[in-house]
Order: sequence, then structure tokens, then C-alpha cells
Amino acid sequence: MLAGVDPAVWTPPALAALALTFSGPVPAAVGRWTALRRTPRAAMVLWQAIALAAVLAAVGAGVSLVTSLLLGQEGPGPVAGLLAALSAAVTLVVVARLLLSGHRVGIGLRALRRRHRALVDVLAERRGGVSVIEAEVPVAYCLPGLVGGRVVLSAAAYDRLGPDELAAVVAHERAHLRARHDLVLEAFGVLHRAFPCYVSSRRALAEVTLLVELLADASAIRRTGRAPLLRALVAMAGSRAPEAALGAGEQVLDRLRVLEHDGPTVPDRVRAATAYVLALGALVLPTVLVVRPWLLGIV
Amino acid sequence: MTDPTPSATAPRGELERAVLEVLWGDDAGDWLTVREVHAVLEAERGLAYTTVMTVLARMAKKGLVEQRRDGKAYLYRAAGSRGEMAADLMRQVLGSVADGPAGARDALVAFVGEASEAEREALREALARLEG
Repeated sequence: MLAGVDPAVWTPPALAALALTFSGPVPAAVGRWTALRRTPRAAMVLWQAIALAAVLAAVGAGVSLVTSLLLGQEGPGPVAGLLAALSAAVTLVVVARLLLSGHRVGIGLRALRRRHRALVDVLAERRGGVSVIEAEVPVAYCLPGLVGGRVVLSAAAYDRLGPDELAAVVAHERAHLRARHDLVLEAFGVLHRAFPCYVSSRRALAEVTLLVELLADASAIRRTGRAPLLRALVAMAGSRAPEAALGAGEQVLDRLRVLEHDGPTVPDRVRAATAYVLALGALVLPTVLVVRPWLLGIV
Repeated sequence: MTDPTPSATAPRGELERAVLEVLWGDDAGDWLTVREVHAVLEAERGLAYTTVMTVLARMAKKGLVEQRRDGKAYLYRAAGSRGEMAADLMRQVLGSVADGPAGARDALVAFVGEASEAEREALREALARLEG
């Protein structure tokens, strides 16, 4: 190849290129791959791999640049030292933004849920493992938490749903609680909050929000079949007062498309397998191809 | 259907509700001592004094009751009337609480949110196809 050039010198720019690719064009492309939603678990794994790879590549680019500048042939010159300081600063800013965002979002979410859970536990009526609150608007949601999740329905919703529709809603919400979907949403929310511009964090968050609903829908369908879930959606999807801000409303048609799909078909399975391979590649490829020569270089 | 919540939580909510009923029951909205609350609950449910004391302290931490010190004793009153607390709950559900860093929007995720008339029509048509 390039005789005499230390392969480790390609590590920082390669990692930087990977970071840019994984935070822009790749999420945009995967976002257009809507057929993958039919196998939401594979899609979820792929999105998580891309996000993780982007963060690791970005931080890795900075770290590898700093070390390669400082651990050069005879020690760093003034230019190399300055560059090293700059890239260290940028890397630290990236990490700091992530940690700060994670802290704020995490504290905020947990405090809100704690307050809400205290009120629900004391005001709601427990009926068959579900907390029913007095409210005329039909709502159903889950309250995730380490201590114990809650499935909450308003009295209006509880009365409106037939027994199998109720079973579908509860199965859907319990799937959220069991799989801790709130943690995935929190992670992508943290990313979006830390880097709201120039990267596809908004797109990623929107897609993952849809995917967790698709996963919960799949769980409900396994429990009750499609018709009760669809009836529950018809009963619950409403036009509410503008202040209503519970999430997961805008993607109704996407959910419907997946719900109606008779699958998984063979093409679906092939797509899912491809997604898993791509996810693995996203994480392993940069690690193997790029980090290894750098590690060998400094050892 | 099995209950995903640990069984210790269900009776706990019940105790807190009973305590709130006592506090709400005081029409004047006075601050009550642990002893006064216990007097009612011992008669109703045979609860121990220490139980009532523990529950009140926990509720204060959760923001369900307000706590005040008067000499050696603690005094308690409900954080709001039943109606106020129910309204608080609804406000949180509807997400019109002033958004913090995360906001109520992200804390609670609904089974399904608002849908336009076109979307609801699509759902109804899909149901007709499925059941027809």
C-alpha cells in the first residue's frame, strides 16, 4: 500500500469520516427504508447500532488524533501540540454535551414520572392490574419506572373499550414497560438534545418513537390478534384539545400500514437479516479496520 | 392478568389514600398531627402509630402532603384538595405543565395520540376490511 506511512495516521480522519457518515447520510438512507418497519426489532437494532457507532466514531476520532499527535516520532512540535489541544477540546465538548444532556433529561423525566406516579397511586382506582383515573378524555398510557410500571387508563377509555380491546391496549402498554422502551427513547432524546442541529438526531428520534409503538403493537397482536388492537385504535384515536401533548400520535398511518401487513414474508425476513448484518458492520467495521492499526501503533 | 407491579405497592397506595381521606375530611383544612390522623385510622383500620407516621413522612417526600414543624411535633395537611390534585393529574396527562428539560411530552407516551379526521377514517376503513 503506501509504503513507509504509518497506517495509524489514517485512523483519525477515517473515524471522523465514519462519524460524519453515521450521523448524516446513513440515518437519512435508513429512514427512507420504510419497509424495514415491518420487522421493527431488526430496525431498532440497526438504529441503535448507527447511533452508537456515530458517537464512538466521533469520540474515537478526537482521542486517536490527540494521541497520534502527542505520541509522534520524536515528541510533539508546537503545531502538533496546538492541534492536539484543539481536538482534545472538541472531543471534550462532545462528551460533555452528551453527559450534561443525559443528566438533565434523566433527572427531569424521572422527577416528572415520580410526581405523576404519586398522584396516580393515590387517586386512581385499581381495576384488574390497571390504574383508572377520573378523566373524561379517553387516554391510555404507561408510567415506566424501576420500582414498578403502571398502566394507566382514564375512566372514559376504560368504559369505551370492550374486554378484548382493553386486553390489546394493556398488552401494548405492558410491552413498553417490560422492554423498557422508555430507556431507548430517553437515549435518543438525549442525543437529540445534545446535538439538535446538523445531524439526523431528530429523524432518528422520530423513527425510534415509531418503532417502539410498532414493537408494542406486535406484542398486542400476539396476545389478542389484529382486530381488537385496530378497534382499540379506532376507539382511542381522537381529536383532543390542543394542549394534549402525549406523544406517539402523529404516526397513526405508519402504524396502520404495518398492522395491516400480512407478514413477516420472506422478503421481510431477508430485510431483517440485512439490517442485523448492517448493524453488526456499523459497530465492528470501524473498530476492526481502523482502531486496530492505531492500537498496534501505540503499543 | 398478572399484575406487573410489586404487591407491596398496592397496599401502599391504599394507605396513602386513606391518610389523604382523613386530611381532606378536615373541613377547615387545618394542619393535623400524626396523633390526630392516627386516631381516625386506628379506629377505621387498626393501624399502628408508627405506620401512620411512616406513611405521612413518605407522602411528604412525594409531595402529596405538606409538612410543618411545631415544636417537637410534625403537622401535616394535604397538598391540595381532592379536586386540585385530580386537576393536577389531568394537567400532567394533557401535558400542559410547563416543559422542563424533558417535558411531560416525553415522560408519558400514550397508546395513541391525536389523529386527524382523515387518519381516523383510514383506521375505520381498515377495520371494515379486516372484519368484513
